[in-house]
Amino acid sequence: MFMEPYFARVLLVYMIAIAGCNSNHPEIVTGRIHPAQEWISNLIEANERTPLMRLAVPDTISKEKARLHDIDPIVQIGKIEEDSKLMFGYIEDLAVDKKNKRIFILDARYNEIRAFDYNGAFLFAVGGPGVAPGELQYPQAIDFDDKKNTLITLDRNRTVLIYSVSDTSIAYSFSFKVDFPPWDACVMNDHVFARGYSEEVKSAVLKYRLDGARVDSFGIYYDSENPFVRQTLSPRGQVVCNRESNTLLVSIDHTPIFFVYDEEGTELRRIYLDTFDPIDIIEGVLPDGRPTLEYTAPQKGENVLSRFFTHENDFFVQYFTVEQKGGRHLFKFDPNAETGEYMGTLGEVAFDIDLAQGYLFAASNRPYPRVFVFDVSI
Amino acid sequence: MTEKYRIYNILFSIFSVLVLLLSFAVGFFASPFFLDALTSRIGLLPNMLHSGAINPAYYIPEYKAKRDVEILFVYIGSHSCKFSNDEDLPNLIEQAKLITQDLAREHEYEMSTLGAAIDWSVEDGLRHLGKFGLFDEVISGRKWQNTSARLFIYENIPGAAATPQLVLVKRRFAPSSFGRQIVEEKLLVRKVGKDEIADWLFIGAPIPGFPSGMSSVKN
Repeated sequence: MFMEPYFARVLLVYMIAIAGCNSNHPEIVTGRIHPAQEWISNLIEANERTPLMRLAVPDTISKEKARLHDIDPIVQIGKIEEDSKLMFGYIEDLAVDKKNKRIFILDARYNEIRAFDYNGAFLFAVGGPGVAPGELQYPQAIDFDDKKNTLITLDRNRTVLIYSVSDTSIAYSFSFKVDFPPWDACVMNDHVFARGYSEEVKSAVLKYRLDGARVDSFGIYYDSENPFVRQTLSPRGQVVCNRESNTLLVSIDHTPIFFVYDEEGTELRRIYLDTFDPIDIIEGVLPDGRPTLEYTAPQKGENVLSRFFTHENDFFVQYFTVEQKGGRHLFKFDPNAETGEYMGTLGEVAFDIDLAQGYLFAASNRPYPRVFVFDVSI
Repeated sequence: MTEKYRIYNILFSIFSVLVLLLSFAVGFFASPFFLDALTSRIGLLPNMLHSGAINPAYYIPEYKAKRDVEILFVYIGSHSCKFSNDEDLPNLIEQAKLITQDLAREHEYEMSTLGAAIDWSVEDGLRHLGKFGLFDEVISGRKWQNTSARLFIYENIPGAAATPQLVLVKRRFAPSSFGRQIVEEKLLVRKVGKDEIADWLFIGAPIPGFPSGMSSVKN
């Protein structure tokens, strides 16, 4: 007599709790998978004017190619506990001054750029958290033009900050606002190329002079008829400047196709990663009618892009495979050549390479933030 | 005899019911549910802890004005954020509070804690913060327009707008004509997401400028 209503109450509370949990999760009512296969196929096939280069991981990876995965770093910058300048919060990006053998490290927790030499000795720092000139709110990316000694930092608050770098110091010189929340940026020939997307310009890259004037926009974006999908997927991607060949490599996150442009925005080549299996992004509608995109948890065997970088006339791209041993696959290609080269696998995320000196620069944030310098000259 | 056995039977039945009720009561009061509920109410458990009855495994506010320099421990979470409601997170935050408190004492600094809930509903936010033990101060409501977000994410000490998040700030006070004022505020640590918080604890919760010797992993 006593227990029955008690259990009924417990059951009722349990059912309410379950209903509450469910209501917190977006429910996909209808769904298309992105990146859409037809969008990729159209870009691969419509290449009459723009040549396509295909890159693929070979069926068998030679010992020589797998060697990069096992080598130990010769220098490690970053300590658990020591000098404050060696304790990082979160390494977001690196830029390398190959002429003067310096590494600029962007810390997205202390909102600071710290410069070190190739041996790991601290040189100088700039920035700091704040909204004053030269300070950083949400730092996202850095790039260094060693021809002009110009360092740029991209802040997610739509700002590009420009610093001039001397042999012994770095000084803030100017900042300007960009027209969309940027995802990445690079600097080349006194121009900043910001990666993002806005419905107003319908381009993946905006080109600015260093005084902040917008001079051009170009670049293929993720063209979906659904504006929500287009505006969500198009801005996310990388742009990397090759200051030797005056070209740019532009990507759209989670897609296997990249685009090479000259500095005027003319498309020169498309690159397709044959062995790249992107994660599924599911388009849907919530029960209340709002559109949604659900990034599914990466499944075993799916691929995720890592950083792009350049050396001399070559571009380097890398990606890793979820739950697969062997590290990140690294490719090298010259956009003017017919084919690229599979370089091997890496254990850490590479950020730049200096083949003239024989160094590869990588970083990891777990269990604590560090930058690694590898000797790849052997 | 029959009457005597009947009395024994009744007494035995009453005794059995009492034992049953007692076991239910012991089970309930020793349950994590009850202890959690207890720790979320200021007063009862802290008083027991202050008296030395139980080893203090929770951060306990001192309820007094701070002197010259303090370390402010800020937890920023949200009732509606899946990652802020990870079941391991309350324990990680409690550990972080205690380690920071030890470090502050070691350097003869004061410490205070601030719990901030990025939620529309004040009640939802307070319910969320209730899972993270005791704070000296809490802020809840107004989602990202919350005062804590303005102070520790957007304006005074800008950083990533994400939850869960742990921010340690060194604050220096000085007397002024309006009482004691904060004259310097410096970011010591910002850890965003459960993984970063867990990694930081795993390596000994190092704080730049505060050598602790607690690092559990060799450089």
